Amino acid sequence: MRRILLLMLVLLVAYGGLVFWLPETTVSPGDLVEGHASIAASCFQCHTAFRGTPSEKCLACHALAAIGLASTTGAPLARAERMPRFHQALLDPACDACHSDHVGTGRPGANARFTHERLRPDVLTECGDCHGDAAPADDLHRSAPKTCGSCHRVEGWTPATFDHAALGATPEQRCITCHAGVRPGDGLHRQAGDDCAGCHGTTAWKPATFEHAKYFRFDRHHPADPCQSCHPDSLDRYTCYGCHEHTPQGIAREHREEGITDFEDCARCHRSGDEDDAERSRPRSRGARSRDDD
Amino acid sequence: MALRLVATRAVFLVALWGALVAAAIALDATLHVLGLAWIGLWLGPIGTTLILASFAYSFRKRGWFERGSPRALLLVHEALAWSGTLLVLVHAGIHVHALLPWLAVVAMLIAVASGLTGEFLLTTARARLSARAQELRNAGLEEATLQKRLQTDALVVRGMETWRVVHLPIAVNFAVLAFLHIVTAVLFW
Repeated sequence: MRRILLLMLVLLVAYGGLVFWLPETTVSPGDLVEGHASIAASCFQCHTAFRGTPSEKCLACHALAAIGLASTTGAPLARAERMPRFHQALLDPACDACHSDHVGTGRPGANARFTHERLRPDVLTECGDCHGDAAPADDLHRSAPKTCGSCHRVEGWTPATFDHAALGATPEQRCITCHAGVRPGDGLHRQAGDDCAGCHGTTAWKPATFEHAKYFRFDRHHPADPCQSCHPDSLDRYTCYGCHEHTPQGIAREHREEGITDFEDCARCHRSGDEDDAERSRPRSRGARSRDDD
Repeated sequence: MALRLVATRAVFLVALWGALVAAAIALDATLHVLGLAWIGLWLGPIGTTLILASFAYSFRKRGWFERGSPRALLLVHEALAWSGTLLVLVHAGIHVHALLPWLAVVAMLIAVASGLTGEFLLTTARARLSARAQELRNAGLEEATLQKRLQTDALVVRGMETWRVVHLPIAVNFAVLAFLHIVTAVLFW
């Protein structure tokens, strides 16, 4: 046992001596950053025994008010103009929360370790102070409001939660400005024009809310394709006089015989090619008579 | 028969050593992929605690306490030392820059290798002695003659038992380096 203790003592003295003799080689987790190379051998200039690296020691050389503006010697920094001055807006200037001056420790750089939670709430909404005009030069960002926070979160630019309402009063009219590239090439969409909002909502393309059967049910005599048969000008207008079956004169004569005078909006009564539908649903004009009246 | 036992034992111990290194690499890579590499920092103290707990066997062997059978405690010693070493290896990862922690890691691996070697030598020597005794008994030798014939083999077993004379300084070397690493890590926190 005594031998073991003696061996321990000898090794402790030998290795301990090595640590005191070559602290940089034996215990330093990596070379210091270039700016601190001159104090590499003075561990306790930054470290306090068993307490880590208190910010007071950093701030003794790097005055908080001057960070980003001037060097520790007071010389103005050339990059001061383009450097965001967020250090002064930190809730708690805990330097080692972001900075690790020993390179080679495998720790991420200061930028990666910075989180916006460290900033005072009043500066969190002023994204431009640090990020400048960082918005991409695309149509979406040109149309979007300048308050980044309405879409983006401080954790990262993506994922963003875009709300079409932020675009203005009538975003429906602008869909195609941004979404032209995603319009399907099928017959319906080719003929639908640019009024995406007529069928789609602003949160997702699906489900689309448009149901043609609510207005008129297709059948083999009234097929869906081509739309222009009934909608020659635009999808929000229709006509039933586009084929040989229905002519304005013939329709007028037939309806007047029934005592129906208001027959311009055909689909109001005729929800399909089946004439019985109209019998069940048509509103009658004052004084009109039905076939049963005969 | 004895040769097969020796070979099997040797393969097992080499596999145990290989599994230690493979498991350390796999665990470290998993932590990095999951973005949980910071856990490695705390695996050091946990691994060290396991290794310290494994010393219960050494204390039992020296009669510091009487509870538990040395054979069972040897198995616990091996299991805890292996697991502790695994966690310390993951803790070391690939981030070790300074000389002291490197020395501690190397000393730890040497200590584990030494422990496995001692265990291998002792187990195989005992097995060979037992097989030889059985062989001589089967040949109809009297007990007195048998003991005389086995004397040399028994000396070999006792010689193997002295492996701990080699193993102990190796373990102490690791303990001192680990202690200094912990002290300096806390000192320059």
